[in-house]
Amino acid sequence: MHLNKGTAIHIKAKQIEESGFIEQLEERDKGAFKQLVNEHKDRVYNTCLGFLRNPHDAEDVSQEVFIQVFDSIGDFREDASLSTWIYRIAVTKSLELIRYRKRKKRAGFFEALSSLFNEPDNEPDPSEFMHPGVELENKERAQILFREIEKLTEKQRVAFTLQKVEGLSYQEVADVMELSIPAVESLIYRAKENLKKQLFSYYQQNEIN
Amino acid sequence: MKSQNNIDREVDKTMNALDGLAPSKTDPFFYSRLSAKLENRDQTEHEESFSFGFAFSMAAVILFLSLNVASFTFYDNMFVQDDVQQEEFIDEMAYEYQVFNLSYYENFEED
Repeated sequence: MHLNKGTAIHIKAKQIEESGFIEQLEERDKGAFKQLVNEHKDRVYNTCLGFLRNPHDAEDVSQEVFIQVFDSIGDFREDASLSTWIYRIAVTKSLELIRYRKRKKRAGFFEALSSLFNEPDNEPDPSEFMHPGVELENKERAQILFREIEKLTEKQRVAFTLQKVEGLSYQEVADVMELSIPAVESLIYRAKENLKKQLFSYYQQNEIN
Repeated sequence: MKSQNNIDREVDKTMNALDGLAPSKTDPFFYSRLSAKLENRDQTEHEESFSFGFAFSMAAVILFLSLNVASFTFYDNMFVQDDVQQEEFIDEMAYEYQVFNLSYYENFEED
């Protein structure tokens, strides 16, 4: 009972502290903004990298995320925590870039035509991406897994990436995706089942080292 | 021929390939680059708003002058037109009422 009361007081104190911090951000306090960036930059970058699989894109999108936070902190409703809100922006911005790239790919004919007259596109192929945090002995398998994650539906990909790559809890994934916990559990379960099927078919067609 | 067991084992290993994934980190100059980007953006916005403001005020001055010139020309023409119309009206009236001697009243007074 005492523990519950203590926890409640701690949560309340944290909320008050966060409200004060948000007020400072709304007043465009540079110190508060720097603190916010330093606290969240690695997690935001890691989230973007998990989706985009390109360090340069991940850095660019991370910067865009903080610029949006800076611009629209006034729109932040305190029904979610600040870090959840920032995560949500990071996921949305990463998905926007992926969709943009897909649209660009679909217009491949015109791209090919323009490349005859322009410099060739030196963008790295995301399927060759190697996450810097993967253990050495798992590098090749991780590369295969990332390639297969790409084939999942968007919601399954987001839920699986947030949980597996980011290490978020089901509750945190649910908060970021604005879904219920059972919905997230179901998405992750289906993502895992689909990945197993895809990997099975991949290994049937390719040699196992 | 690959055995089912070998493939299953490989699938499981691949599914667990991201376990113990170390989070990647941004470089130490991330904040410097971000604040430079913000400052550049603010400066560009300021320059854009200044050039827009200048263009807007120039357009307003030109519009004001054009309206003045146009209204002056229009009124000038209108007065000329009014004079012509008035003369035509008098002539028409005179013809209509068959007033051929306009000095009739003058003659009447003399009588």
